[in-house]
Amino acid sequence: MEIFDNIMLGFSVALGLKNLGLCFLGCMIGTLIGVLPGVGPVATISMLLPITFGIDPVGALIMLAGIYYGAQYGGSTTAILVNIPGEATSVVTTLDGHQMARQGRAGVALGIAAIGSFVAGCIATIIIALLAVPMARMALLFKPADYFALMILGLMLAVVLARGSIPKAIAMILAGVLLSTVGRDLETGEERLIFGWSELDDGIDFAVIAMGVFGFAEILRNLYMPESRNVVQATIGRLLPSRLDFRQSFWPIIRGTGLGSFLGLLPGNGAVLAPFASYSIEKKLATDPSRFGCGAIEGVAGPESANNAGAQTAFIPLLTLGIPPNAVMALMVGAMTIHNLVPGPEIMTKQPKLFWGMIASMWIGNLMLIVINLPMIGIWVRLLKVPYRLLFPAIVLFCCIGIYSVNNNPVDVYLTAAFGLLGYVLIRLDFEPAPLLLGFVLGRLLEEKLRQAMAISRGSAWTFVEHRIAAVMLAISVVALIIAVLPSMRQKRNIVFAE
Amino acid sequence: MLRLPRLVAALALTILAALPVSAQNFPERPITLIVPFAAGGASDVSSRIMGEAMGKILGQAFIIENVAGAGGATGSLRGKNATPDGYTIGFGHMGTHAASVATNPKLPFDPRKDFDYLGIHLTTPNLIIVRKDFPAKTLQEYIAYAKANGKGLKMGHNGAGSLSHLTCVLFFQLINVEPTYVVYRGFGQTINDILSGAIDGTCDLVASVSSHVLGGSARGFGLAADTRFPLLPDVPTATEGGLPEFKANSWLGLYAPKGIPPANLAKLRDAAVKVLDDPAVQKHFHDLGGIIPAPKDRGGDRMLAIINSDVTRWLEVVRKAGGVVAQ
Repeated sequence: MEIFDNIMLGFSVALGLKNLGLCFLGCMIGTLIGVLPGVGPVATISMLLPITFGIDPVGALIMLAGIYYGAQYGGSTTAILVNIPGEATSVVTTLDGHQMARQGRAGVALGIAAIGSFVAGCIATIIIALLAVPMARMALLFKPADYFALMILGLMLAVVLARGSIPKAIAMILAGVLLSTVGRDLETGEERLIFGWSELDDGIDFAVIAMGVFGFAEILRNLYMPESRNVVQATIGRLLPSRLDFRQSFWPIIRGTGLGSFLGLLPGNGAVLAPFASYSIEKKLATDPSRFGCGAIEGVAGPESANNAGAQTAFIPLLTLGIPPNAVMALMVGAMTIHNLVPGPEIMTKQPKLFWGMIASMWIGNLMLIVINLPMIGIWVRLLKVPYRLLFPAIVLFCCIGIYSVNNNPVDVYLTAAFGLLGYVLIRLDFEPAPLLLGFVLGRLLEEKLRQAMAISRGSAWTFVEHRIAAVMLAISVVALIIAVLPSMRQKRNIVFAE
Repeated sequence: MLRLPRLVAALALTILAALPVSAQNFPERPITLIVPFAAGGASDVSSRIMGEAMGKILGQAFIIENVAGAGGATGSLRGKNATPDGYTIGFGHMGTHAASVATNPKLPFDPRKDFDYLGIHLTTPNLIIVRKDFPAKTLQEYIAYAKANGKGLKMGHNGAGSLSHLTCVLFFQLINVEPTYVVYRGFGQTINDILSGAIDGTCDLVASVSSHVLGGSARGFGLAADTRFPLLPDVPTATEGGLPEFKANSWLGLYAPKGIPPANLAKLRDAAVKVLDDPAVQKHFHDLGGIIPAPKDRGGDRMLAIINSDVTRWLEVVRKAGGVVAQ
């Protein structure tokens, strides 16, 4: 069995004392930066790149990879405890995770997030080991037209995300798409919606909006309504999920893992879509969708698994084809070139130690992360006991540092403050920020893929029908839209599901 | 009374010691190297290699600061405005410090006037790459295909004003064809669609595409250099393909803000030139797909001369392309 030999080779590399240590170090750093809002893996890995000069390439990459998926674990902690997504991919976790914390189930939410991530990480690692090459080929079946249709489907999901009124959700999505068009046009270099403010040339960073409308706005709201904060402090509840919790989370974790594993492969950070998609599917499948947004454990388990699975499979295009699907993977390319490794289609055959060593280390890393994270739940939950007047300045400080570290640009901090105010106004007016963020994330890809598809078809819109994947996804989108907007059908559907 | 002269002497000594210290003992603290692109790309990696090697010579660490934005203009502006003491230097390449004059009408600096250059440390030729099942196998066949199909040829590039865009513009001006351009955000997405067959190819640096050509997932030809490239011995040059006019060498170099103390500038320039003889640096740059400039092409004065001629050349190319390929 060749695969067995390969896996053994991988473990022999990853279980070396030095690599084991580096893996642990990476996971630890990753968890910490994931917890700190705004300080993302991109900033951390670029800061730590020079340190890896002295380490052998396999060890260096094992550590950097650990930082990356460790950050996905850590990101959920801040999302659940203080309603601030530590990572872009944790936005969805705030929806039900923080509600669970308010109900005194913070420990359960953190626990299921960690366990879901672990299960997803393990399955995704197996997928990489067994199916890396066919999976990468599958991702290449997606042409710009198909990708565009996938984004449309993603926007339909955003409607489902909404707790309250659908028109308000659609307004938020469109506002998000609009925000994503700020900055120089990629194709013509024309300035768009920057009002002569050259700082906006490259558009608004995702972290700026996320920290603003979630982080700062949440703090403003808590300061305005101190009583809502006290609820979180009063009750701590049990620390680990119960048997019932596990039963409710089992299928969401499996489904989330499947979704995440697939979306993580797609270029242009498709993994961001994974938690949103998982949440929407769980909400659709739930016997009682109204629980979502009020602390449904499926709404934490599914997206967290999707998120972590996506983080792992994002390595597939990098390791098999030499294509970095997101900014972190682009950094990994840099780390490889610094170590005289040229990432490309040959890495698997020419560097088997690196390839299989990294895969084995991912599994070990996931095991380490759950060992690091489960005992920490008690500490994290106790953090809620810290008086808010002490907690919130610390959060603001960390947010500011994090935002600054994204581009080393002070303007980003001011912008975040402005978005904080905007977010507060939105909360007061009962608009939800999550669809806004999804619209923002998808907006840019939506535009780019539309323009690419149209350029390739030389202006023929039929391209979206001729590409079969695109046609199917657009059809699903239309059906989803009809179901969402027709109130009579919604009611009927709810009754059907209730039975 | 005896003490005063001693005090004066001591004071004088201190002052004397303090004055030249800044020049003689330069550098006394770490040096910041501004890279106007995100970490991980060829620009960033080459800067880190330079910083690491120069740091060893100068006895101080180099801190890389990535200030991405506006195709490199944001970070380069910060480099231009930095205190000219030698403790902040920056990275620039053919795009940020030459072609930008032609492509960005609002460029907030003039690369011909606003910097003291330390020297070019790396050049990398451009080439044309196409998907592996593309009908044309050589540059001649490719040119014939382009002329026959015109807009039917779909070439990707990495954004308005990027080096891959400029190279494509230059190439298609030479053969007098206007292909369909498909624009991507960065090389990762462009190469993805070449591998998937959605587009036909791109024009890019050897440094970016060498692994895909070596691995057989894309085909390269029309290397815009005088001789074949050691890393890609099977890729024919543009001259071999019958288009000797296609010469596009992208260079990467370092600068300091205008007006730093001459002694400090000299030290930095010496270090930037000296590291190019370091075998470790040479190996790194070679594997990256780069060529280390010949001794006559090293140093700040040579870099300024190349910038002056490149600015003129790109102004001409962009003017012929119908004005704006704005950044």
